[in-house]
Amino acid sequence: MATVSEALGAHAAPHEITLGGKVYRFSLITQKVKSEFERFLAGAAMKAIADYREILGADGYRLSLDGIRRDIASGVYSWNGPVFVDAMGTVAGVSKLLSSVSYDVEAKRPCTPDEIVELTTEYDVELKTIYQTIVEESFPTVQKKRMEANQAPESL
Amino acid sequence: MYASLVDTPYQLSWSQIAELTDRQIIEVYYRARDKEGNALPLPEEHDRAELTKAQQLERERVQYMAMGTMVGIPHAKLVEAWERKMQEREHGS
Repeated sequence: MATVSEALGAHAAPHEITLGGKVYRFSLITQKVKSEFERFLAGAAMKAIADYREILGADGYRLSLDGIRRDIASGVYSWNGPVFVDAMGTVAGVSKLLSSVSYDVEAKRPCTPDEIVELTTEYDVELKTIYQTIVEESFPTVQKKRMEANQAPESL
Repeated sequence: MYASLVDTPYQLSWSQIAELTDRQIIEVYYRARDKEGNALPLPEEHDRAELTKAQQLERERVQYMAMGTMVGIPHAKLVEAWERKMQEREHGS
């Protein structure tokens, strides 16, 4: 039986692309993907604090963790929040997001962020296009802005 | 917004909502309705169904070029990439 998302049709269909003879599927950004990415951002901040635990001392460590928890509650690590926006300006952030929506058909598993970076190095045009397409098809405002910006595509 | 999808009339489970994109939620569940409350058809999907295979390919090409241009890729490089993509698709099918 089709899931609700599948039943709704093309807006959630994954994109299949062949790069260097290998087939990859890229799904759209669902609520689950967004939630996992937010947890990844908060987790990375927690890990960074943990790495400096000895230097911070017990009290400093606890205060730093409390600060991150407050930031999580106030939406700093939320989708489109300041940390998210910063992450989207980095190779690590974009590759992590793309890896979470990717699927290597032959290996039967998602691509790792490192594999995404390797693919981007070799197939920058295709990966940029896939990224744009996924964002465009996942979020309604992006689609509208793109359509307005491309009123006369014949001029290309 | 998500809470209302769990409630009547949609009655979706949280796991079903987790698999939806923002676009599905906004444009499918919260799209414009007529006076009786029935959801209006999605014009884009209606148009797509009526396109021939050649028209669909041309639309795909235009979108590919437009998006590539938006992210700053030179036109010649886009043309070359599109041709490679078509060749790969031909070999794949």
